[in-house]
This record gives sequence, structure tokens and C-alpha cells, in this order.
Amino acid sequence: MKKKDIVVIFIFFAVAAILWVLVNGTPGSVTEGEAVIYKNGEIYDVIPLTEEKTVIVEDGDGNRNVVRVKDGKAEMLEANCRDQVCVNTRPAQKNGESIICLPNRVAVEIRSTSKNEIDGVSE
Amino acid sequence: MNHQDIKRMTLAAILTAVAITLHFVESMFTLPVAIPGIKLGLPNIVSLTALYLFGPVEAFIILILRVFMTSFLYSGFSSLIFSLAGGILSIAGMSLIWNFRNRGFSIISTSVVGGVFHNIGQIFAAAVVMKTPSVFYYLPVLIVSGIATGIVTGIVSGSVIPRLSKIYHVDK
Repeated sequence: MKKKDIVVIFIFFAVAAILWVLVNGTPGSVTEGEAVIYKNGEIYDVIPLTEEKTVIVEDGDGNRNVVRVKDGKAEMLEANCRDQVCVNTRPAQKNGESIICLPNRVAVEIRSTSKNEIDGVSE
Repeated sequence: MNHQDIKRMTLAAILTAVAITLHFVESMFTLPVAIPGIKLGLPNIVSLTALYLFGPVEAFIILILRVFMTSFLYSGFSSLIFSLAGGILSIAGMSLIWNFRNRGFSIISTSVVGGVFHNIGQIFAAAVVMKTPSVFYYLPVLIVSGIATGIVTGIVSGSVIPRLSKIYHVDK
């Protein structure tokens, strides 16, 4: 490995760190938030984080996802996709945080509902 | 068609076959991490090897062949857009650094750029397919994973290329 390789690696680390701060630098858990469930890019359901609710997202092609909102967190309980990445994703609770199931084209995104919060990245 | 052309064509065909196999091997297992899209990037070893043995054009052709063949063979059409977006951006970035290979950038730089650009391309494809920008939440993690996998594939390719160039001499 040469000196310039280290520079390249360092630059990417720096970019990643800056992006990380931009994404996660916004206030932590949102109390006044909602979980927005997208199916095929369209809003399927919106659940306030204060509620406790389980939503089953199904389509005509046999794709099935089960999303649960509880204790201010949203998580993917079940998915019949093959990779199970979304099920293994940690529960989402921060503004902009999301759980994505690519094979079934389902996304769960946390959105803050309080108006004084500035978030230029996730929206 | 002279001797060198035949050698080049045969080696390119073998590399394409190896790329398809590596893609398949990679799809057999998912890494135990809770972030979607993190892969070892094994097929990238072939892209790197082709780039350093032949050049960007051949590397690009091998990539396109591999992406279409694997999509038709097993991963399905829906993965085509992801593989294409990641692969093309990756080859473009690697070709850029490859141009500076005599100015202090080793294959590790090329590979890291390839790994990171591949992940960035996939994120953009995901944003288009899912119609939500929230996938960019994963970008920092995917950049770091691109660096890590890039270093690994760079080391592997770095040891493969000198051996292969004994069979195929680069006369450019």
C-alpha cells in the first residue's frame, strides 16, 4: 500500500464521517414522530409513534411484510423475502431512520412531526 | 486474428465465467450484518483484473456481460438495475484512478474507489426504485464497508494480476 492509497482511504472515511454527522446529528428519538410505511414508493400507512400497532403490508404478488410500531420504535417483524435484511435491521426510532425491504419494495421511515426540527438530509 | 488476439479473447471469456461464478458464490450467503447491501464484492476482483490486464473497455464489456448473465440466470430482472448502477459507477471510478496508476496510486486505491462507488451506485438505484430518499441513511455505513471490501479485493487482485500477466503480456 502506497502513501496515496492511505490518502484515498482517508478521504472516503472523512466523507463517510461527515455524512454520518449530517444524518445522525439531528435530535435523537422523536417523541412527536410517525412511522411512514411505503409500498412501491407510495405511502401505504402512517402510524404515530405514540401508538402501538401492527400493520401487514401485502400485495397481489404474494409479498408480505409485517411492521410493528411499539414504544416509539418501528420494526419489521416478518418479511417473506429471501434475504431477511429488513427483519435483521435494528428498530427505527430516530428522525430519518428507516428500514428497507428491497425485494418487496417496502420502506418504513421515521418522520418527525414537530415543526421546529431542521432536517435537510432525510427529507 | 493473431496469436495475441486469441489469447486476449480466451482470457476475457475465462474472466467473464469466473465473474459469473463469483457473483453466484456471493449470492449464496449474506454477511451477518444488519445493513442491506453489504457484500464482499467478489466479482470486483475480476473487474480489477480485467482493468489492469486489458484496460477500461474490456473491463466494462466483461462487467456488462456478467451483470446480464447473472440477472438472467439467477438473481432476476429486479436486481439488474442495482447491479448495473453499481457496476457502471464502479468501473468509471476505477478507470479514473487506473489512469493515475503510475503516479503513486496502487491497485488498492483503485479497488477502494470501485467498492465505494459500487455502493453509491446501488444507493442511487435504490432511491429511484423505492422512490424514497431515506435510503441515503445507509450511505455512510456503505462507504465504510466499500473501503473495507475494496482493500480486500484489491489485495486479492494484486496477487492474481502478476501471475496472469505471465500468460498474457500487456503490450500497451
